[in-house]
Amino acid sequence: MLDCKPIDISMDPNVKLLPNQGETFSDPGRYRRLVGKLNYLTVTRPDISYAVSVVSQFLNSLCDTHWDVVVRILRYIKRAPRKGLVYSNRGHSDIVAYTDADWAGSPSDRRSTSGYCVLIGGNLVSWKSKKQNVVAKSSAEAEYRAMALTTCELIWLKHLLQELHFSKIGTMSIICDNQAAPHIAFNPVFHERTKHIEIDCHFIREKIMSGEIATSFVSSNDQLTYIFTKSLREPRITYICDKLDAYDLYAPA
Amino acid sequence: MLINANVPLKFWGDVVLTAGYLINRMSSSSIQNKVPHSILFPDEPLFRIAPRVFGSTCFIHDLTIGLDKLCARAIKCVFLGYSRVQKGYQCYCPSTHRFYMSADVTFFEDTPFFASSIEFESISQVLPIPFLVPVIPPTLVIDQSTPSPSTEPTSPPPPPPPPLQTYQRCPRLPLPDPQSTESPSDSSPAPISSSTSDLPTLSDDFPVTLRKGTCSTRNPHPIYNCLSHHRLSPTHCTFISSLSYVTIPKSPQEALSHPGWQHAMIDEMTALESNQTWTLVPPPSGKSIVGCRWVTVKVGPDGRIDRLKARLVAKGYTQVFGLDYSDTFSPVAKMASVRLFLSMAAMRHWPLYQFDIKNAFLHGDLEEEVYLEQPPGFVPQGECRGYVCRLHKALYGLKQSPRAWFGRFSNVVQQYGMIRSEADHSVFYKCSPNKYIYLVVYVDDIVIIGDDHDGIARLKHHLVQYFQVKDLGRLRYFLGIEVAQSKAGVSFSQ
Repeated sequence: MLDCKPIDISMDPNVKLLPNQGETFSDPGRYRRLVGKLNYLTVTRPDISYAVSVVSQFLNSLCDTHWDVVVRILRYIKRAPRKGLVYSNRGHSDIVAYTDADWAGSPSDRRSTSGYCVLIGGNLVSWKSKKQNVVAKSSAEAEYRAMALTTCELIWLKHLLQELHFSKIGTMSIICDNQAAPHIAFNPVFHERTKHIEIDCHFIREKIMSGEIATSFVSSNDQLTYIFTKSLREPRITYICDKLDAYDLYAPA
Repeated sequence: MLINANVPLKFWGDVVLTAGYLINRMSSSSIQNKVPHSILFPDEPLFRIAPRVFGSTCFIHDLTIGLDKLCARAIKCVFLGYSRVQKGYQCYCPSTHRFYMSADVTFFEDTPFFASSIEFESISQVLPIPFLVPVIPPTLVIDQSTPSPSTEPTSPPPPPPPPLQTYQRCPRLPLPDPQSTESPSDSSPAPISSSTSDLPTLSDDFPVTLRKGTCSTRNPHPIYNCLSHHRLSPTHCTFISSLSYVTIPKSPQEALSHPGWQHAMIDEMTALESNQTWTLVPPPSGKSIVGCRWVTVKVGPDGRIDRLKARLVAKGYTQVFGLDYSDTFSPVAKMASVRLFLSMAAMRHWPLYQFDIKNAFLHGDLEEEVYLEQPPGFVPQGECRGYVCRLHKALYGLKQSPRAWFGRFSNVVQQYGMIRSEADHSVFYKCSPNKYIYLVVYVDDIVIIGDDHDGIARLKHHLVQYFQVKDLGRLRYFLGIEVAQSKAGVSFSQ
């Protein structure tokens, strides 16, 4: 691994991983240890969290192809080994969350992936990339589940900050790039396609009505959460990392 | 056969099996001088593997994964028969108490393993040795069958030992030893037999690896040390070899004989005693007693030895849920709250401080009654002999230790007037108007931020009264994360 070539994409967008695809990998322990270490690395590196969450799904049924993907992540890390987050004072302490879902992204069971990131005062504090545990029938539904997950995280952070008396917390905003999801959240209309996600709907709507959170729309170009839901190509990765203040701290200026 | 090879009586079962194996392959007068085995299995060859002298010394090729180039590659064993299911010899190694099944064996058929030369010679002269001609290739000899009285006295004297032959066919299958009463994972050091000293044991003088965690004193096999060496890359290995010449002791007795380790163990014992960790009591009836052992650690980042450290750990894995302990949950900080702290410090330009509690788990108060065996190597004399230790404080290795430690820490911090957060239980805070102290604890690592500098100093003073606190100053490394703070903000990476 010492003399491998660094690459700039952590995961090939065209590769779709399936369990038990290809030859069985000879040393599963090595794979699991490495994925465990990568998992800890996501504490300071949001840019690899999607790739790590994907390779973590194959700890039981791993093959050569999965190992190749892990090696690719390592090569990506080599490009900027000391990439970390920079926090600074931006003069406000607003809580903003971006949320997104990759509808039916998993090729094996067609479940969606939800991703979110929470910025407090412009500093990226919390993020997640997680495969949903049920199949969503429409993209709006997948987005909706992601929104509900984000809301839970926001409420937790709000409780914590309120307890700490750190600052006054205004309305927290959730930003998503799906038009339908905020519409369902606002309008108490249930038709048969959204009946089954009623709990999520009521949950978010309650929070919106009480003024705790507000939803807003963002175009896909400015959606920062893409990095948690899909494998992106190069200019996008750098763009989002810059927005999230994830820099290579030791890069030559 | 038993007497001829001077084999201990406990191997009588193998003798019977081998004798039966050989008898079945010799012609019998009751069935017209035919061989029973070829009647029953006409398709199979008579001998799947060449017969050998029972009880002779043999060396098995050691196929343990990860052996070093310079390690001993052979295990000295005694040959005890043939495998029924496989093409291989069954051998027993007394030093490791294991049976080995292998076809990759080098025999010294003229040297019995359990040698008593005078007896052996006299017996071999007295006993007529049956010699079987028709079915066996002429170079192969069986001189180990049951000494039957019907053999002819005119049988020729045993031919010279066949040339040394080595087979390399099937991998060896180590079998568990049915006769060894103690399990090999027991902490008591295995008896070191004479055969071990014959082998080139590198481990004794070999510098030991600097593994990050602990090295157990548990596995006494010399190969073990070489094994751990193998994990390192060759260059790193040489580097380590040039650095360190301290071996990790294999038993408390050995550790006590080394002045450095002895010092470390006595240090630990004094620390435990000054902490009033236990009192000696007579063994209670109906209570389970937890064992303990020494774990020796070499402390120091990046491979350099700073000091030797010995730690007494309890064998918590013998504890039973519901009987010896109930709750074990202990909260640790969420990574999001740690990051929230960093961002709060960045937003308000607050300094980040870090504390470390030494021997954190030893401070926990135990709720349950836990009895511990006396630490090996430190047995009090006089009337306390045979007593056990009634633990008052937690010990590393106990199931309830993390919980006991967190409960105690939480109490001490709350005495100071901090409030435990409900959203994240490992976050504590104290807010008076325009004065804030926030504290987050991750097992024994503590990060404090706030603008109340006097309050933080007092908090530190308060902690020092109860624990051994190491003030690490400004936060630089926390859980493997490097943190840097400047006027522009806080940056962190791994």
